[in-house]
Amino acid sequence: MNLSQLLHAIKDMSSRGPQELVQLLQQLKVTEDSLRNQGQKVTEALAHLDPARESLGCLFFLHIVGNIGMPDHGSQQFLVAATRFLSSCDVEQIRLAPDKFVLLCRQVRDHAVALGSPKLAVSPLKDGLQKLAPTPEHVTPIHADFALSCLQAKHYNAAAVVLEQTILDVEPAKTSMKPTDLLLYCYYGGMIHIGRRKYPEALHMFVQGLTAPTFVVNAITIATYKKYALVSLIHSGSVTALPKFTPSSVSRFIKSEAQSYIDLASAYSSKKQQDLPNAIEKHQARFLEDGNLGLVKLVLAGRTKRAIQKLTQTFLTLSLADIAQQVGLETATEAEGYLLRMVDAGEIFAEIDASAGMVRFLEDPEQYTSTSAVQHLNATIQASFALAEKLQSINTQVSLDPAYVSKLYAKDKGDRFPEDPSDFDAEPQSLAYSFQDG
Amino acid sequence: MSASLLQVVAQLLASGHYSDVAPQLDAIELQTVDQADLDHWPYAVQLLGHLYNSNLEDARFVYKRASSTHKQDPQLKAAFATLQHLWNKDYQGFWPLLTTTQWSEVTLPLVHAIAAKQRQDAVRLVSHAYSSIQPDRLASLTGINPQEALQLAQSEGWQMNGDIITVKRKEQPDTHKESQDHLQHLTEFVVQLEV
Repeated sequence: MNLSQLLHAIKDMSSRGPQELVQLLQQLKVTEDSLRNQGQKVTEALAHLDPARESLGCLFFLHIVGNIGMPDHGSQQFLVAATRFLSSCDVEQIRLAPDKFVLLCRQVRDHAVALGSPKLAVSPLKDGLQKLAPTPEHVTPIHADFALSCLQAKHYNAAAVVLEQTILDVEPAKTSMKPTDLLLYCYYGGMIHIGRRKYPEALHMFVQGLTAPTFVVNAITIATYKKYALVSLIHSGSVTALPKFTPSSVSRFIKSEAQSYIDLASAYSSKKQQDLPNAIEKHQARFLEDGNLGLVKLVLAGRTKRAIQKLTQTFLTLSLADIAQQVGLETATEAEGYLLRMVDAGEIFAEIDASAGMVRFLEDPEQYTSTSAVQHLNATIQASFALAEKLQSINTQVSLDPAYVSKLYAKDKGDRFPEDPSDFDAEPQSLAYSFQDG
Repeated sequence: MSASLLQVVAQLLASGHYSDVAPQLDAIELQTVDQADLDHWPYAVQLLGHLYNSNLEDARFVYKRASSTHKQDPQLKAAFATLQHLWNKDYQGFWPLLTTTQWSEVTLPLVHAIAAKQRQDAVRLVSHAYSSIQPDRLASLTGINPQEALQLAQSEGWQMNGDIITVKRKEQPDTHKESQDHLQHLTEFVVQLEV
């Protein structure tokens, strides 16, 4: 089939039913290879297609055009066409070819980078991931590309809305998702949160990446752990242990691959002041190579803060001069400055009595009786209920899965003797495993 | 700056909706390709807009995105220095910078708004962190002279004991919602838990 015939077919079949679309998809896949050398003609043909109505055809043509001249030269023209396509394409059509769609999004990112303007990929990729994901809780490979674009463009807050969305579903069949895509999204997403100083959110993303079920360990996982350890030290003063369901391969590899970071963590909690700076100097080359030196410096800076916080456990009141001496600061005024900053950030509750130069450490005055506290509690409870409902529906889904039921039945068969003929007529639901009974 | 971009910025600043300045500029920046626009991009205004919203991190990234040529602009330099003071919570260094810089016509309203916010925050911080404070210290934290600081203390209801001001924390009145709502919520929870 030549190009003009194909064009005609696209225009004809795009507005018919889903069966015609599947046929069209087949035709496009077959003719794809022969069109690869006709870049110029395809570009011209593309101008005749409407991205909203003939999305499938547009997708394939754009993909061919996107390969022209790459990876050396970016094309402004392609980027403009692809941006328009991604914002207006028809969701039903592009979901028939998720792998092609993902490749197109990757091309958009590559072109933007080649043109020296990664920010141009941010909006189109956001549109792309929203179109491909069956629900907002699904993750797609485009999520990783989008996060990387935001990082490269230094538009970290552009990713905020996407990152806030909790990821609950992965469907490789519908989204062409690969394991590395999830790992990369968790890693890049965590980095964006670090840049915005949202440490709890960063830790949450890193843990998602570290606990992804796997038998083999990826370089991405190791890099994720290194950042996780540092952020954990900055945020809470110790490296929080990974959950029990972390794959054993990951735990093993951490010990061998991230030794410098484990050393740093133990030096941090050591009683001797000099241990931490020594450890940092010893492993400086490693931290520099991993691109983590900035975070390591933050870890060091955070230690004075921790030391002051520890004082609240021993003392009710203390003089500014004593605080300075205990914590290793030069003057009482410096200590006052530190305390003021910590009170501002909500990291400590204290009252400075300037007339006597004394500090009184206070308890957290939050009584949890205010309206805002109640509202917060309400919201958290509602969220928990929603999550419980989601979990229950996943449980039901698994219970009704034929593969699961047959395995369960095969296991039961050995125990039950003689066979109960009525079981053969039984509905899957009655055989289904239920949490309440288990 | 192209006419339309100039208009948008002027409109936002004139309307007094300072909290919208930064998000709007961010969104426009993502779409802007015109080199003329990029050469005259109002980074200083954008940075200050983020400072007004207390988004220090986003402000820092605006500065990172600016080219080295842009970074020579004295307005942007001053805006970045302001960010640095706020980032390090250097309350005292913040005020001299504000008053000594020659702010442009465009940035001045934003700077005033940020200063007003910062003064409020400083008063709140003092009421939380100090049980007594010297007038000089209060003055340097809030960017006013000691005479005005004494007046400020009086207006806040703080006592003067010789040289030292005794600070009292202001009790926040709690807004009470209808207890009906509470009962409704409780009923819903109990029903869901029993399921």
